[in-house]
Amino acid sequence: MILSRAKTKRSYIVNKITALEKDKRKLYKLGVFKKVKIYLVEKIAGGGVIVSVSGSDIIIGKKVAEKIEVSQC
Amino acid sequence: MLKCVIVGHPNAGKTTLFNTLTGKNATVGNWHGVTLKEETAKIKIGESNVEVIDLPGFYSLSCADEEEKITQNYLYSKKYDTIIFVVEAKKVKRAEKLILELKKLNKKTVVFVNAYSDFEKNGGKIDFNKMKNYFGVEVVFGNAFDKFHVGKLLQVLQNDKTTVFTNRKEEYFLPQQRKNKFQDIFLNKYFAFPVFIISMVFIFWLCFGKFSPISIISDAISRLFDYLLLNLLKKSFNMLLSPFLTGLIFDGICVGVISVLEFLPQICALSTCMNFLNQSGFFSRFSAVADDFLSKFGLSGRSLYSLICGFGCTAVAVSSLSGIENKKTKKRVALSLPLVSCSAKTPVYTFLCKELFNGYSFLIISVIYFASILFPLLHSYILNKCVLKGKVENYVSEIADMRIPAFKPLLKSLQKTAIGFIIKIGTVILLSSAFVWILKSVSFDFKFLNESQTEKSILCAVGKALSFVFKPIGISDWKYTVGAVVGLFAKEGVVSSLALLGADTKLLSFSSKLAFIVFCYAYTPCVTALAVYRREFGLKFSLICAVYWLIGGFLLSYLTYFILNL
Repeated sequence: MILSRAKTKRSYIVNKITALEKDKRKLYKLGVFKKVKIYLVEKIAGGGVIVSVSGSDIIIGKKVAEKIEVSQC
Repeated sequence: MLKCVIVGHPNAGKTTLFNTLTGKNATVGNWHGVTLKEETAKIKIGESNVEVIDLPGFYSLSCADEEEKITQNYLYSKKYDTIIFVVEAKKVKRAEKLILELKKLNKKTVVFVNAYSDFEKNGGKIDFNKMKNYFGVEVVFGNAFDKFHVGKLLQVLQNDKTTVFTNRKEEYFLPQQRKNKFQDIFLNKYFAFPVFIISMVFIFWLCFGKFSPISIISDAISRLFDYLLLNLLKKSFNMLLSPFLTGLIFDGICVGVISVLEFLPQICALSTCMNFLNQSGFFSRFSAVADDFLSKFGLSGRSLYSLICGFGCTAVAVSSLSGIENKKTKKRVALSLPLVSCSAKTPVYTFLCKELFNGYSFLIISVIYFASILFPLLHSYILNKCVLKGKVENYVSEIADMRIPAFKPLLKSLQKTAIGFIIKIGTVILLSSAFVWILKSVSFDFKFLNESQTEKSILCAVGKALSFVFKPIGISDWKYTVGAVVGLFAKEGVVSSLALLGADTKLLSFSSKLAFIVFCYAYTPCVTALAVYRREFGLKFSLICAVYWLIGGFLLSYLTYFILNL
């Protein structure tokens, strides 16, 4: 499923990221990449999400969140 | 001289460590991207003199974004001896790749694991011996603001002995439980927006409300200086100095300086309160919640940091724009920043509002500050539709954890604000007050004029020649024109000039006063800010900005006057 449509307060594994190269790079640097485990903290207005990964909270805007496919742990 | 660079992820505690090591007071904040350029200081470690360099945060050596290039280039230059890598304890796993990248630079590397006590309290654990052997580097843990822990770091830096590491890749890290779920409530828009509005109104009341503690202190300072300088000392020096010198020192410099100095408590309180919200992590979280709202104006949550910096100083806010990648978005925010009311304009509003709203001036000042949030957004929206069209950046960023700010960094920041303000008063305001007083006391044939002869002065002639600009808002008094001109050098100069020229704001109508406030709010930023515009965007852009907002300030004030007189 797409991250922006996943349920909050649950953990997911990232399966695929189809975002633009520069956004993929940003995500990678922040610890979000294929096969990593993330925790969906909150959905914010406009379709963006806050995820927790490797000890940090990351905001991912709507357009990028729609390009991340995840599956529940 | 040995050189030591402090590097790490954004918001890891590098600048806090730098401040503790060096005793300096570089700006810290609980936000990613506060440090935007290198800071340098010299210390003594043992017998050696060492230069310590604090660099902006970065995530990767191999693929650096625009804001990370400064650090990347510096590290690749290899013009240093030691690397101190600062990492928050709970994020050590994420930093593994970067630590190994840094090791390949073949410089002595020490890892400082920051905020370890918090990490342990939340169930996390690091086996530091295994960690040292995993990376093959020395590791120190503690809190970046604690001198004892930083002392341990200094001992490691002093140690010249080569330590042998096993380089065994054993698991050394046990993650903590997800800390402080309470902070998640600040990501809820139905909670975050009201908290933002309520906290801002409370801050404005605290700083500007008639019976607030800060206003009482400000009033007391004003009366004390009035009594000491303008009464006691003036009477004593009257007999010893010439009328010209007595007038210059007491009626010029002292009046000008005191008129601005009395706002020191309010400036410090406003700055400390904003810093408290910043250091608590609230603004960082709020930027995530506000991202969707800001996107309607062509901005992203990243822009919020620059807008909030603008409340302190426009020059600092312009410098912070380097974190915005899109050039058109950057220019849009830059052109909108003068509409964010900087702290230097606060004395102007307070001075003009005093008689206007008799104790409820904090309501008008609150309105001005909220306008300072909305008007730049509206301005950016208009620019996005017309001349500086651009895509809204996707906001992908780390957001800070919420915490109760430590007392020491807040105190240091307060100290920095107070000293900066006093230095500005002691230089720009003092000089401008002296200059204004001399010009108002001297005629064109260089004769000294007394108080009753000001109409014959050079300043009056120049002021009257330019006073037509304020006639459309019902102000024909040349003193306001002089105030506006001095305000180009420092906004507080508007207050010092009006005070020492004896401009009686009670004589102005309500609409004229409000129109003049709007002019002071919107017109050209001070020369310091324009210099930063020039540095960041070039001379052409800075001149465009200066002229744009000069015309903009006049137009907005005329419009205000026109609407109020309908």
